[in-house]
Amino acid sequence: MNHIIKVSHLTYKYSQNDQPALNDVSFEITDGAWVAIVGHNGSGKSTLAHSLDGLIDFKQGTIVVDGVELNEANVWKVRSKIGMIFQNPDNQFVGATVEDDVAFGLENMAVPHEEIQARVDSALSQVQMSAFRHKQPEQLSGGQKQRVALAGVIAMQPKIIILDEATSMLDPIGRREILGVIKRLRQRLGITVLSITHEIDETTSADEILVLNDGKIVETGTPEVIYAHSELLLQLGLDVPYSQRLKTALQTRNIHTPKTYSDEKGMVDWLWQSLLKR
Amino acid sequence: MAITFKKVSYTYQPNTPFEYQALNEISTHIKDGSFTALIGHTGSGKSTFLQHLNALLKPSSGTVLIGDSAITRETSNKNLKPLRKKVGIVFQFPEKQLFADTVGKDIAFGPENFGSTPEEAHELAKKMIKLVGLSETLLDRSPFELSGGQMRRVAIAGVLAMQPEVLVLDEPTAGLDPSGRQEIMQLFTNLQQTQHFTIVLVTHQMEDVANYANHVIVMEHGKIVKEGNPRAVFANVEWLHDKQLDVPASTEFAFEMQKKGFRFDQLPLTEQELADDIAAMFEKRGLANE
Amino acid sequence: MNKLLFGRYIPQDSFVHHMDPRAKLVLSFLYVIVIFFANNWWIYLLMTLVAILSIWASKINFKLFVDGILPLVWIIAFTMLIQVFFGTGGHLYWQWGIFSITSLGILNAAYIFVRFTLIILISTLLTLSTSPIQISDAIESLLKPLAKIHFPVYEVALMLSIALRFVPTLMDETEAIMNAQRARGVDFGTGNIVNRIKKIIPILIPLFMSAFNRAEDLATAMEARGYQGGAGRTKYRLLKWGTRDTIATLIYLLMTMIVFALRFF
Repeated sequence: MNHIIKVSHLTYKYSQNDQPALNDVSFEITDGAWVAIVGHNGSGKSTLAHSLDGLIDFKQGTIVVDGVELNEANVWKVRSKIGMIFQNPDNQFVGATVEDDVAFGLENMAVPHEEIQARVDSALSQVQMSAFRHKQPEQLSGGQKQRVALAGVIAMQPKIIILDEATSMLDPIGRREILGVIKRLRQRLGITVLSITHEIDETTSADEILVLNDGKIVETGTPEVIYAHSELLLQLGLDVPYSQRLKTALQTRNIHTPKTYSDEKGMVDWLWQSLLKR
Repeated sequence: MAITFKKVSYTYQPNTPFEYQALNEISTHIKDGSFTALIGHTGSGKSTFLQHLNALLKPSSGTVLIGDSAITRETSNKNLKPLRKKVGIVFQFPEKQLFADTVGKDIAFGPENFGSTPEEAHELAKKMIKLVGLSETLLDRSPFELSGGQMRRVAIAGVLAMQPEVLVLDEPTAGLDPSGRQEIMQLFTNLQQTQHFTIVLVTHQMEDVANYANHVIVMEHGKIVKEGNPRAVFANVEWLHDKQLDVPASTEFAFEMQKKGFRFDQLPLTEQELADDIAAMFEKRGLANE
Repeated sequence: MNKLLFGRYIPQDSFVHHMDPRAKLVLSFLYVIVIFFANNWWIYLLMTLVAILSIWASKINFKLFVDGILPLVWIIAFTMLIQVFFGTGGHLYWQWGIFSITSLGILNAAYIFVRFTLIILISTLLTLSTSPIQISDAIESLLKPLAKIHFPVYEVALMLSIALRFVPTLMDETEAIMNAQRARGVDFGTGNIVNRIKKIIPILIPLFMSAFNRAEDLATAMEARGYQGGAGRTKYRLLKWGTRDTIATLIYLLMTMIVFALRFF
């Protein structure tokens, strides 16, 4: 398996005396995977995202992105491989209109005018925002702005998309839209996705989850493995998926539940098996 | 304190090309001491509705009764201040309103505007910062040195310090992580139980609606499209799905079970209710302690 | 919600909307310069006709232009009154100390009224029919020769377009902050001047904090999307000079020539 991101012994402090925001973090991400990094606010997850894109100048540790080691000389090369979506929909909208914003990154890459046109068209249609191309940011909802940000990123054809709490300021509809678009993009482009979030519900489609606390990775595993550790998640100030919560509530009522994790659908099926089927 | 809307309409920028009717003949009654949840999509008119609760906006037509004061289009701006003391609003991302050089001064800002002496206001600040779960030692710090979650609490303390009778909360937990969300909601329910506030909560978190509210208003396109207690409002899951609105996870789960052939007398709202229902089903089948 | 009407872009499908913003910018300037050469009613009549023709070609409701003039009515009235009472020459109707009303004074006041109104009409037409980004594109394109003397044309244009893009965002923010402070008992618009200034602080400080945060976020986002300064960037928006622009330019040049003919010959 090919590792598209390799992080070894990454340590970062915002100032000399502070606790390190990242403390000896090492992990690898497989090409084409969807990896979710979860942690409560202040656990260091955004610092980690910023480091990967060279937006933070770390002194200790190494980051290798798609075979390129991140350092001062290579930073633009690394950035061209990564597309980032940030938390605040307003504060990353650079262009005066939707199409201008999508074109912004392409202009920076000095893509010729005709090609910009084509790439903007295709990126907007992939996030289903073509009808809004002449709209100004204040005419869009938060979810629509984030879809534009996503279009701006995919137009640049990166290998990796990092979602830095990209849904945390959106309402449920906006959140569903973004996650839906990401799923479709992954199917079509096979792009690697790294999503950083404190919403456990947003990690269900991930291949792997890294749990971050106080700047350290405390647990790594598939969603099934992580979700089964409800106590750990609660202890770290995170949520537990609904089906797991229900299972706990049933256990306190002396009902024997399956040992392994199952999602809502799996739980309904199990209830049907045990209660209605015979 | 009760608040009543009688056929309230509100239009932004009337007689211009940007004219926009945000509220369309809204009538409702928010009972004294109730916990009302206001749900609906962005653009449904929720925030316009909120701004009528303390007369930040006056209706284009119709009447808002705040306690005994009737607010209409003609109401003079001069007599609104006493109302604003009675109805405190915690706006979305309230930490954005912080401005003073110390936390203490910021919390005291509201009370001083409403006529408290600096000493009284300082006492209130001391009381309120503890109430929102922060240490008194923060009073002399700059609010801009605090963490996001702490700033949120300071802003809430600033509204509580006005000692309002009605507390309006516009998505007070937006952007917080799960434990932060839970702590803030716990704070408000404690307040309601101990101090008998009337609470109006705007939220997308249906779990919070199920757990805390006793009255739910559903808004769409500037109108109230449904109103009642949470059980009544969440009873029709398909209708809510149709409006692209969420239902509490337990209700959703039970709804899925119904599709598979399970029967519920009434759909559960919380996981405890659902677990009780399921436990009863197991017992009925004699499978309880197998 | 943004309540400011003056200077807001109204999208339309019209002759004027489809013009090259450079043409609109230059012709509006030309119009304003030419009007200062006007010294008789024939010229004013001609220029009024051109203004009306231009407005008609924009398909924008004339009422919006009236709304644009109304806020400025006091300034116009004040300037007119000064002309009426201090203007000299022609037949003297009334005099008291340094004040006098003369026929020439009244005529000049009338000219000023028309001149003001026409200037406002034409500049309102520019802003109503041209989006801010088009204006900033036009400025960038017109300033391009300055790049030769190392004037940072691209950076200035980008700054301008980002500033314009954030105007509505910051206006909404201002309103949200004002609402929050009003809900905490601030009464804007009452009290003496010192008190009024004091009341601005609870708005200004949060607004500055937020603007700084936004600027920081924006800079990070721009860096993440590969922005390394203006040099070497390509352009998505290309301005195109079309037949419409040539026609409009010819009309305005013709107007200019007639005005000069009426004035100097």
